[in-house]
Amino acid sequence: MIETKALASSGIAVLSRCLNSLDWKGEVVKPTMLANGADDQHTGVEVSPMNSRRRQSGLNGTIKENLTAYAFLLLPMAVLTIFFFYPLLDTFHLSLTQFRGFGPRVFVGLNNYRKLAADPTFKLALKNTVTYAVIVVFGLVTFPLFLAILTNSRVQGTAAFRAMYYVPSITSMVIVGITFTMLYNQRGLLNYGLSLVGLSNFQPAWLANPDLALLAIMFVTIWHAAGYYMMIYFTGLKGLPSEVYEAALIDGATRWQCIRYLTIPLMRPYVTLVTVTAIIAAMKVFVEVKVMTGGGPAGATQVMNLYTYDNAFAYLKMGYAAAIGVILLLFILALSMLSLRILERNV
Amino acid sequence: MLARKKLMALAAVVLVVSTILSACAQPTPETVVEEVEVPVEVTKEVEVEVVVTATPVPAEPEKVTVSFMTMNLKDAFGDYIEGVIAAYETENPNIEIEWIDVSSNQKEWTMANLVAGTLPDVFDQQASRGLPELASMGALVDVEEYVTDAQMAEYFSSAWDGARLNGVAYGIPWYGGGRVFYWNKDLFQEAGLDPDVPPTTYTEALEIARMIKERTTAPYGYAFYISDYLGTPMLMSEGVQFVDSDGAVAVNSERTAEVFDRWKTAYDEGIIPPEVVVDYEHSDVYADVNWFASGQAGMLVRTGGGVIRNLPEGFNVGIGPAPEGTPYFFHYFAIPTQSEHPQEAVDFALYFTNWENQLEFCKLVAVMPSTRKTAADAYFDQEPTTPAQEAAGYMLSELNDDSLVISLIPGWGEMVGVLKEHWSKQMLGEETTEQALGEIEKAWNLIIASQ
Repeated sequence: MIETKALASSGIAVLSRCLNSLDWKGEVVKPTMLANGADDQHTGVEVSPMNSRRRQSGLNGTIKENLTAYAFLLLPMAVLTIFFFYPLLDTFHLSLTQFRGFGPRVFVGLNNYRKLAADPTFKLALKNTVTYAVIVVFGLVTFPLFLAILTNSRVQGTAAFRAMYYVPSITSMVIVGITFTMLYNQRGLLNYGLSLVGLSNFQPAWLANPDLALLAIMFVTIWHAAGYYMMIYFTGLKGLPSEVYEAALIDGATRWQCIRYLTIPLMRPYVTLVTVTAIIAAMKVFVEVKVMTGGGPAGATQVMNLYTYDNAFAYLKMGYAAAIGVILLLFILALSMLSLRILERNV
Repeated sequence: MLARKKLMALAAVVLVVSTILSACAQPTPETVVEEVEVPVEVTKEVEVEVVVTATPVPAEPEKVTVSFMTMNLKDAFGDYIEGVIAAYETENPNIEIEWIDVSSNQKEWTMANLVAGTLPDVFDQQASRGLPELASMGALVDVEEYVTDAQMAEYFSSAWDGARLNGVAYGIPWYGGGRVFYWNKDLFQEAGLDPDVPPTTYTEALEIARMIKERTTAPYGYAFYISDYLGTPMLMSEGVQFVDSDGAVAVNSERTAEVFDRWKTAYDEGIIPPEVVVDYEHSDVYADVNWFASGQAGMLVRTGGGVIRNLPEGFNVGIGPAPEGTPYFFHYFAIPTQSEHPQEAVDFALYFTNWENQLEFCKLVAVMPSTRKTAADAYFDQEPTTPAQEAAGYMLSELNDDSLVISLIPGWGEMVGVLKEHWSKQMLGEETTEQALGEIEKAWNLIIASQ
């Protein structure tokens, strides 16, 4: 027991001695420089032997602090490695193989990517996903901001409206999808409503029409998620400085001018956040399509995530599915970075 | 005096400290010696045991646990299944059955467990859903290695062969289902048709559907949407061959073109709902039943329970045999190669699907049995008392060794996706019949070649 303790403490001592030679940035500090009172390369302050000693003891404290911090970071890092970095790297590896979920992985190089380039369903899925993302992101950046501004007024009862707008986002998308599938039926409630307002001649079978099906799904996504993004905007609106508005009102600004020239520019960080979040969510659209159309009619609503899922679990082409996943990941990364750069430049 | 007091206090302190220290001290060598003495006592016990083992005790056979999976049956038939398991365990005391019941989407469940190496020893799969892929991957046991010819002969050969791929049988057939024709007698009457005479072919059915649309308030004549569940058996009944006996693609034929054209005309004329091209398999699965039950369509072809359960009270329903006969689908018990007890697994599957257990199951729910003796039982000669029994009677009347059974086609999951896509495009007019069938043939050839 005592021996073990001694071994552990000597081990820590050795580790500490090794780490003592590192400065707080993790860079090696030359002992001679400190002992000779040479200029500290990192701070530009002359270090006297006295300062050196003081610094040495301060350094020990910093290292101990760092060690403690790293010890705390170790567990989350291990969890991240197991559940995030490893699967991510493995997806790249999987995309270079042919694998049916059972048996060996056969390395096929870039074959899966070559097949993707010639796959018309993949191209259709890519086109549909981008179209879907552009429209849905626009809808989710603007419409919730409008709702947040409306429900931010001091009129009594707005909290109830806010709650009502938020309710869809806490409802299961599967339930929402099934309900909307029924509503969208040619002889469903939506068309009945349209006939009541004089649109008896406009009675489409929403999900059976290849020109309308994707739009119908986009509406469901916006309806479902608007409340969530409205709450993000609402939090932002609450944090805006009232003095600016007071000054503007004194200067004779109208309510619209306040929104146009104050609220919208001041809300830009939140717009950035919503844009990036919405892009990621929209590119990964799956549930509403799977439930409502399964990618039909005739592939009109086929999207990347659904095609990945079908390849992985319905067709058992894990390698091919991983290749689609990698392309999707790169697309999301590129679009997110692009939007961040554009929006941050204007903040 | 003071010095004496100090001395006494010091002595007291020393006493207290030494007491504390002795309590915290390591065990003394004496204690260790005592601990060492313990094995000596054990040795004595061992000597006693030697005397006991002199009278041999019969060794208990090693207990084998067989895991067993069913699909979404626990709520409705939990008591029945537990009863069969208990009876089997009583007859086979060395076997313990560990039953799990999984909800739908069993293909994903099966794949996840296959990869994890945790597939149950006996698991339930439908012929067209996952079984072909698992079989072609070499993940399933050839059950015929474990059954006798006599045991095999108890089952309809059509049902047994439904799980056969390249000559190898990958499952033991359990219960199945077929298709029945349902029609709205009131709408038939309104259209001037005899409400007691159903059509015998799909051509006739669509003719009647046209009359219903033209002469009644119903907006459609026939309820249907393109899906694996509804479309595949309908095409099979219509005589469409997907692959030939050598496994080569045979779908691009004159017969298929004829069938596609007939349904396209029905779509263009509005005899079938425009939503025929919507895949309702993950949402409103009973969309066709709802059109029928709400009087929007005059007829449909489906299996037993789903239609009858959803009909409103007083609905004047006619039940008859499916036009041009019914194909059957069966559930099979497959045994994974991962199983450590394939013989026990097969034995249990044979017991679970024996004629008596299947008969009891058929009495609980209107399903098709896979054993001859069950199908021949006097129970099925009784006059049906419920619409479900009537439907089962029509399905059973066509079940024999030559029945059309949905069987294993490797890659069917992907093939049916292609079929749905191009059949929908043909219906919508995006592709001609020729183009659609050409595309299907091309894609199917690639899929089959990649298996």
